[in-house]
Amino acid sequence: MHKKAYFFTLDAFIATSVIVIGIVLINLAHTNRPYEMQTAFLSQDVIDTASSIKVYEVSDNKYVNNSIENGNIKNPTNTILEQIGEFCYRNMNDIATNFTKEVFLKTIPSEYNFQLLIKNGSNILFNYTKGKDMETSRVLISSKNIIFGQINDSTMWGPYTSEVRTWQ
Amino acid sequence: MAIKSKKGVFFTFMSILVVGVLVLAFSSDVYVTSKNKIPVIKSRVKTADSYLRNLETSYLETSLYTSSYNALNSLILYIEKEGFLTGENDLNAKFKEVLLNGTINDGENISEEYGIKLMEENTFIHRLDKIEEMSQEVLHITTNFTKENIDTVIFQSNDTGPWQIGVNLTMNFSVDAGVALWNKTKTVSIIISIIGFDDPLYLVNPSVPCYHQIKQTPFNDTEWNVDTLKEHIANATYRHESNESSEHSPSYLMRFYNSASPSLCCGIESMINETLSDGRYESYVDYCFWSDVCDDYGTRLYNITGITTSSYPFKLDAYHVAQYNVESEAE
Repeated sequence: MHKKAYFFTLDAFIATSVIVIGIVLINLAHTNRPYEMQTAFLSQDVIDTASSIKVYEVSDNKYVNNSIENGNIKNPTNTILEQIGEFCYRNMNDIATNFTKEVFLKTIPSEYNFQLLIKNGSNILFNYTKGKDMETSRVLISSKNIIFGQINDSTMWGPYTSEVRTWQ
Repeated sequence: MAIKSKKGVFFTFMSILVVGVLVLAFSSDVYVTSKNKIPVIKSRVKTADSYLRNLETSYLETSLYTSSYNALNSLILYIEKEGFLTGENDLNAKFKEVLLNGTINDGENISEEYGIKLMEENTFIHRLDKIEEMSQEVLHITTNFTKENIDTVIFQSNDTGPWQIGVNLTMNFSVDAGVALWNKTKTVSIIISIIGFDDPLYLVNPSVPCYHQIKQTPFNDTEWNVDTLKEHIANATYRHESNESSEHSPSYLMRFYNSASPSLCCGIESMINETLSDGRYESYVDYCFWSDVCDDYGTRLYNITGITTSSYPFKLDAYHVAQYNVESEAE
């Protein structure tokens, strides 16, 4: 009888352990998912935001304001991506790099790495990368958009591809 | 015996629990998989919708604007080389051909045949080809424009006023994102300012083409007198009559086919300056000077004191003497 009680107690203990381990495993599987999804959301959010926010809306930034005043930015109603595309069309890649740093780096959390590419067909016109180990990253998400713009009455640039890559 | 029965029940419950855990674990995966499909479809439709909105509200308008601007300038250069167009229908036909294909007179390449290179990589069809290619390559969205069936019209009306021209373009297109398909008929409308464009009358009528760009006078109809008229001549500006008279000047677009008929909404006129004056006995309002349409305004022409000289025999007809409020200087 003693042996039987001991056996039942042990059996109940093992059964409880199986249930607890099962629940823990299920929970662990769930907690991994937001980690990937946030990276995906980030790249799409960055490209959506940069495609909709106008340059004048970020003109409280000193660098952006100076660029408007010194004429490097001719049309503050361009969106941020259009402005970077226009810099590429006008062969002003250094200014495009500084502009990207100023506008993006304060808005993207430091734990995420980030790359912005502007391409005309297969030709890369602009490449800004913050962070490293893109090739070995476990989660790398890319979001793309089409950008274009107008320089003056007779000249239109684009369409170019803008691509944002984020990874951890 | 009784204990043995209890054991069996216990093991049955245990096995149900273990199976339950296993089922839960697997069903959880199925749940996550189908849940993940919803954002993918949602994201795809959102991307396609955003692309379509951008295409309709921005890309087509910007493309039409820049292509129309270059097409209009190309037509002006063509008129300089080949003379006036034959009429409004000819203007619309030639404008459409240049705008869409960069050709003129049913297929002549305006760049190769006439050396007018403004439309190279600037035609509207080129812009449509580029966005079709890019939407497929970048977004995996298939865009198809029906390029054989595009209607365009270039016009001036009460909506544009005398200092702008309008272009309407209607076409059919489809956008196929796989999970959603849009079939659309779209009319794109743009307005272009004529300020800065050359006046075709001045390119063809003088013995040597004169590049006389459209500039709007700062004076309104109540401000005219001999001094403002002098300034109007010196600055080579254009005036639009805002009254309801039937003696209006032709509109800017009518100047492409040398029509001197009145345009109530959009007539504009300038004065022939000293360099173009050739001593002929005509009113020096531009369209009067190069046509006989103002002969009906009275046979007598008037010199204007303070403007007319021996080297610049400036004259005005009776109608324009009154219009420019220089009756007391007319002799």
